[in-house]
Amino acid sequence: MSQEFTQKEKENAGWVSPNYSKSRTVHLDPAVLADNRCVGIFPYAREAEVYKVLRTQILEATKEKGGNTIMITSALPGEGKTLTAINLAFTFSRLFEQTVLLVDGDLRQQAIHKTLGFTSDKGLIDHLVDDTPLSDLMIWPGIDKLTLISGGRSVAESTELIQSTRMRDLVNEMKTRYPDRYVFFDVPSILGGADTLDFVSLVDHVVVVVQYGVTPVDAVKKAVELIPQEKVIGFVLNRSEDRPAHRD
Amino acid sequence: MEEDVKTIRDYLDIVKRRRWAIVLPLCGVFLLSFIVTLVLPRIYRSTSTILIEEQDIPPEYVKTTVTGYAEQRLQSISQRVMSSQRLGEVIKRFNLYPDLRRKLTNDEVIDIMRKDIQFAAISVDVVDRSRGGAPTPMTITFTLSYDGRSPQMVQQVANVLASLYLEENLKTRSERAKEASKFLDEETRTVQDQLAQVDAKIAQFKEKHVNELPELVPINIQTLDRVERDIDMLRQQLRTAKEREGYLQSQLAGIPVDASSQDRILLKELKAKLVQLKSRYSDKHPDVKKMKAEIAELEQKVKVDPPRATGGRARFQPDDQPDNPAYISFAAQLSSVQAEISTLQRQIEDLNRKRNDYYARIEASPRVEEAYKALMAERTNIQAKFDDMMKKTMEARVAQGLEKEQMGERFTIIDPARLPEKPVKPNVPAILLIGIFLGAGAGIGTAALKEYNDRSIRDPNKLTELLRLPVLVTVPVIVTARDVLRQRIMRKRFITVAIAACVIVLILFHFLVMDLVILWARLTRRL
Repeated sequence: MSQEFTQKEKENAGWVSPNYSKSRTVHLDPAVLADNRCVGIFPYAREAEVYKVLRTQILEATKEKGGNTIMITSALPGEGKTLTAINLAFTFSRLFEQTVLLVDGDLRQQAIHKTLGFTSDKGLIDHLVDDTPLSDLMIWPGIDKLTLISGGRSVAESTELIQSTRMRDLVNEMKTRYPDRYVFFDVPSILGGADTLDFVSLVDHVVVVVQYGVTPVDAVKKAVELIPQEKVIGFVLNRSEDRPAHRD
Repeated sequence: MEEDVKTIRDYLDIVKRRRWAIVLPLCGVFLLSFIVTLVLPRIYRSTSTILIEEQDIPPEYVKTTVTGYAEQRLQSISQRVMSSQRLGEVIKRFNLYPDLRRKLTNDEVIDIMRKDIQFAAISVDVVDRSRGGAPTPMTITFTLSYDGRSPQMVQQVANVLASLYLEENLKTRSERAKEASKFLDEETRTVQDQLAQVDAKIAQFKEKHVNELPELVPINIQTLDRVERDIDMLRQQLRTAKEREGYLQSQLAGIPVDASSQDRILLKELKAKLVQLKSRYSDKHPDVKKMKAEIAELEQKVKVDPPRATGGRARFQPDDQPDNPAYISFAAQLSSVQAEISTLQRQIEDLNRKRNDYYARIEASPRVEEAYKALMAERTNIQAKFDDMMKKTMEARVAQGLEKEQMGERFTIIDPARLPEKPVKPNVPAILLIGIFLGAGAGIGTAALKEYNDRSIRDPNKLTELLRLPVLVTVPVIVTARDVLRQRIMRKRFITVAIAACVIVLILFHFLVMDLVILWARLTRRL
């Protein structure tokens, strides 16, 4: 892997490239991404390797059980859910056959676009409340096979919105529009509110982020007990200070 | 996590993780100890060294009456010097502890002063050749120190204390010597009285038993002997005299005094005849009657001159004028002999009495001797005691002189209290060291507590084990270029601050604790 594949090489290998003409296009600043630790986009970054391992594990789990919607959450706020979701989306988008949709499911605080360093005035709420078409929400960040939804306003009655039928339909549409598409939802922490507990019923799989050396084991236990265990693929132990990364 | 066997690596990780929990209490406590060293009052100490000198004149010549070991005496002197009264005087004189005196009672202040006074005896092992055996520790010098806040005051008080010891020693010794001397004097006087009493008793005894005294026994025996011999001699004489008397009487009997003596002889014959007749006849017989008449006639005749008629034993009678010259001569001799005999008998009686007297004396002697001997023995004992006491008294007087002249064991100040240049307290290095140790303890304690209470997850296996869900991946901390830059700036800042802190600490150490040049010199000497 001394150099990146060219577009032609990728297409020869079965590269599927959807048409993003309908989506808004934003330009990502690599410097901002680097500062915000979005390493998934840099193929040579040391940490990117870890996300590849994670990707493989998720692929295996999803192939086994089926389903393509994955929710990234954690027990407590601030454990690195958003960053994990972003890096995971970036890493998945590098796969030849899969396309990826990254959705900011935190209706109270949209954070993905801020982390990636661009502005966006439309998000899920606009679709649910104002009936903005889904295609208007989609943003193409200039990365092949990756689209994302993030930005716009936030609301207080987020839980009710998540429980709405529109939300269910929306998720269904996301799941089924493209085959081989993986949808990642960045949602609030489990113990932070009711949103995630409702969101769980909409998705196929859950990945729980645990911050190394910070999250108490009891909190994790409590959080996991609140959601259906069979949907949980596993944990991501985040921000480890152990130098040699564990690769199970 | 608690049940795990921890490796050194785990501990290193913990230390790394909890470095601030360790470092901050450490620095805090150390800083606190540093402040304590600055805040604590400076205590100065001044010390006098006092030498215990042995007596100048060898003890073989003059034995001191003050005995006991130097340590014991020092203890007793200490007790006296440390008495509340003495210390109270010193406190008043130097106006010590002005603050405390306002708050506390006198006794409490004196107690505090006692604590500020240090007494230390310096002993050496000495082999006493005269006594032999193992070396015994002997106090040769002692030091007296006084702690206080003012160097000048401390020096003065230390000197005063030393002089108090000297004074007290001198006083005690001379007093003791004087007392010993006085005691001995009194004892001697008592013994002397006893001696006089016994002497009087002996005199009385002698007076009472003047003749039976044992020393007179030989003389008594001798005298008795002589008396007996005299008695013997007198008896001899008596016998001779009696023999002569008998002879003379027989001679005298043969010589008739005068004519009348014929009638008498006849009378006798008639009387004998009458007795003869009476045995045969009654009184009425004519023969008997005739005989009786004849006798009566004769008696009548003899009665005219009774002495002549008596006959029988011739007796000298002055009025009886014998007319026979031979008779007269013998009679004279006889009467002289008779006189001699009576004299002799009287003399013998006298001597016998005398002899009995001497016997009694000699018999009484052993009993008297016993009592006399007892008395003499008592006297000899008392005399010996008296002699001994006299000798001791003389010695005690010399010893008293020794103490008076200060030739006995004495204290000499060999190192008077000096003005202290540096405080002895607070012991800055010790306090700082304690600060470091306590700080380290506090740091380690805090870290351990934090580690113990930490329920967070560090081991992915643990998480899997607990929740039966796999850990998909462990994502390391993502270090960005900006992080590296920030860290570098922080490090630079930290190094600057650390260097500044070191310099400040060194400067403070130099001025407050120890000159750095001296410290360097000490360190190089040690190494």
